[in-house]
Amino acid sequence: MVLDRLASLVKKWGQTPGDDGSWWPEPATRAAVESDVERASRERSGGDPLSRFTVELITPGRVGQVGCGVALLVPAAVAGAAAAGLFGGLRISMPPWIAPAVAGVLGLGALYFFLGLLAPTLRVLADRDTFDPAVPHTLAWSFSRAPRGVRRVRVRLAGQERATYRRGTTTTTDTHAFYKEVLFDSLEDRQPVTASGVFGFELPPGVMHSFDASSNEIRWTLEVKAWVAMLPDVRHNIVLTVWPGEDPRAYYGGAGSDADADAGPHPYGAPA
Amino acid sequence: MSDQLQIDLEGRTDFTPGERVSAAVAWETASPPAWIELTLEWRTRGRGTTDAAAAFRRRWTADGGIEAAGAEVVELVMPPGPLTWAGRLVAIEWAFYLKADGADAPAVYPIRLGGIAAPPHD
Repeated sequence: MVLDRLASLVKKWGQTPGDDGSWWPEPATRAAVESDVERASRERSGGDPLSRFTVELITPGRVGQVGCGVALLVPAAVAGAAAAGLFGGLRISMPPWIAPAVAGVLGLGALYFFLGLLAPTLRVLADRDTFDPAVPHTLAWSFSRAPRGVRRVRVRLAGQERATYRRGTTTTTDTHAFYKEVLFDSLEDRQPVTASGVFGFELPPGVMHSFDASSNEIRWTLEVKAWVAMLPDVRHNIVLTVWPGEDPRAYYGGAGSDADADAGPHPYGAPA
Repeated sequence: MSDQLQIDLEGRTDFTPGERVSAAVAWETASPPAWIELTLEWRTRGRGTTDAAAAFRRRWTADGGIEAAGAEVVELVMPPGPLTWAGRLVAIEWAFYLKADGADAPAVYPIRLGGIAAPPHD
């Protein structure tokens, strides 16, 4: 039943192409989509198993970040050189091609990010907020419009330890991945990238649950990545709550402890 | 005579969340202590700065009339988490601690909560 509801939502969000080739929902349908999103959010707090994970723009990948860095460094260097020439008496003779080159790099960077804005939005919907190991779960995803140019979509589940410590005045966080599993890969499955999809997965029994203390963390994430032709790769990491049994937030209020116990508001008890 | 503090859980060290447990504590001190406290605490070990919290605390004070030697049995429900974990960067360890006013060191009774297997250390 949850699967049907997810498929229904994805159908609305994914919007199979109409006769006019448009992938954007009609205004009336769009309103219905928003209604579904809001309803999913409301139902999440009320314990309904259907919940919306995220509706965020997937961000440009590493290539985009490097491009951004280059685009920012070049004008900074030029400005620095100009300032040195003005205030320090430093004379730098610039060859005549430097200005067009800088303009070209900036223009390419701007074009790259403008094209990045055209990348489709990816939405992920889950059948719950808290994921219990050894219980089947369902995930649905959909692009906001035709995934033309999307060559591959991969959804990976990752478990990571994160330890934060101070050394002198520097705070460092070390990480270690203890679990990685590809849940869905359109390339491996030899499937064309469609506008939407639903797939199931199951966490192995006995895996460590999510844990988030001040300096130590066990973090589970869904790593969604899409490879888009001629555009920056798009990716988004969604932090999951993995917990065996009932939602851990039921314990946050102190339930489950002895009546005389002093279990404070801390998620796992009062500071020792 | 040195102070003696003891915790007894019938020799058990593995527990499951939600399990009802009886913990017996006993003490023998040179003079009646002002307070005695039993706690069930988790703490992290590993590369990160230590995090710790008490999931259960029972304290007896002189108001209740503590004698120099005595024993108590405490019933508690094991907390749902965090479960015991021995990772590469982060370890989560549980233990009962029995402390007494004036005692040199607490009695420590390490336990395991839950049956999470350690991840493979590559």
